[in-house]
Amino acid sequence: MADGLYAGLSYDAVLAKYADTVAGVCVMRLQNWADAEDCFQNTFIKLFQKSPDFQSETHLKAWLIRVAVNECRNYIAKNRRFLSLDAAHRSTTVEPSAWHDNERDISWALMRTEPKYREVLYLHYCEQYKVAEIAEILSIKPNTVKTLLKRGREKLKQIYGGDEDESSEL
Amino acid sequence: MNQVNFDSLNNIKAPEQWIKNAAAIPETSVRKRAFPLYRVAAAASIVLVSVIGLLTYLSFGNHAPIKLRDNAAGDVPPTESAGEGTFPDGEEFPRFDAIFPSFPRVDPTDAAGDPVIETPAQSKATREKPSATAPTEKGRSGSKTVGSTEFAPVPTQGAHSTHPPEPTQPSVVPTEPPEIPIPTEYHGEVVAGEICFTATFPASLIKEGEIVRCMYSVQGITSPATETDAEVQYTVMDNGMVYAMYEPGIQIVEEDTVTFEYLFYTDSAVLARGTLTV
Repeated sequence: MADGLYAGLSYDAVLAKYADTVAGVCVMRLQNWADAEDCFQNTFIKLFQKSPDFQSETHLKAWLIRVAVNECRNYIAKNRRFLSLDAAHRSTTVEPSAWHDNERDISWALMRTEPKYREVLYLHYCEQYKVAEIAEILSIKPNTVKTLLKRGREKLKQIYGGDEDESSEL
Repeated sequence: MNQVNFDSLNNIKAPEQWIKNAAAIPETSVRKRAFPLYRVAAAASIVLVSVIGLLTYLSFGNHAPIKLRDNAAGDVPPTESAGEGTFPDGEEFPRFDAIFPSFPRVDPTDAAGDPVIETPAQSKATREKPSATAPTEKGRSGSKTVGSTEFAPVPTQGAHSTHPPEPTQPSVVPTEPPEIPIPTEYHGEVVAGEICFTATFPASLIKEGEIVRCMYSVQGITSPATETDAEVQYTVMDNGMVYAMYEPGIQIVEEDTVTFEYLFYTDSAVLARGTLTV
């Protein structure tokens, strides 16, 4: 970072531009707004404290997503016992409430998939990342990303009952 | 509805409160130091300990708190090594009086029993470094070489010795009559009409299980070693001394006045010598 800029953007500009992306990653991973907020804040705290040098905005965005994913993983690891009960409770009461509006919505389906599929599906279909980019962000092999994408789609098909025509989207 | 709407995920908006809190991070949070404080503290500790150690070392100067004693020093007592006695180089062997003070000291006598005055040259020769083959070395007899010493010289053989002395065969022991009387330090005994040669010497002079032999001469004529070097009965006493006794089996005739000179020795060293006048 030079002169408080992150890839040419100020901290407030970065926050305004990528807050939704980081929030989406955290909510999608944790399925809990309170927990997601903690990881969201921690992500931007790290951005401010570490102040890494970014080559471009793409690099900045990827860094934010990777940090957010790692924060969520660390949070789950630290609170594994409590999250297991929360997840069991959440299976019957999915939040946020806005997602109840349309149960055919992909968000509703993604919330019922395992986290490892959810991350890959979210990054691929929502953040428009390619397989190689997802592999780099999540620090896994590209073939693993492909496998997770394929199995994630199958999970979605099972959740949807397998009657939807997903060829156009998936 | 067969279409899956992924755009709905993109509609996840971060709550305004989240953004406000995140915007306040620069005001509340502090950037991490480029050089962590604990590293500075660790480096300072290492430097401090090093300086203290160096100053402590220099404060000793020439007075080291621990000093190893030199084994070559004159005040080092004899030590045992490999079962043999060793003495510092250039030092006299311990006098028998110091080891066994109760034993009466007798001046050297000649073959006839008369006292012999030791010359300075002879005295100096007796203080020379002992040799393993002293009795036969340079053609001199053993009685000449050792002079008035109570104990025959023992080679200083220790762990540093690379050439162990070759044991001297009993047949090599001088068979010629001694030219100079053997100094007397021990006196034999007459027990029940039989002659008994006795001597006491430090146990360090012999190895464990080593055979001690005795050789004697009568009236200045040494008996052949091959005939008289019988084994000696000896006992190791608690004070570290060995009491040796040998009975040659000679009957005493009352009319005769005979002086016996005897020598206790092992294959590698002469242990003690003495006279007995009957």
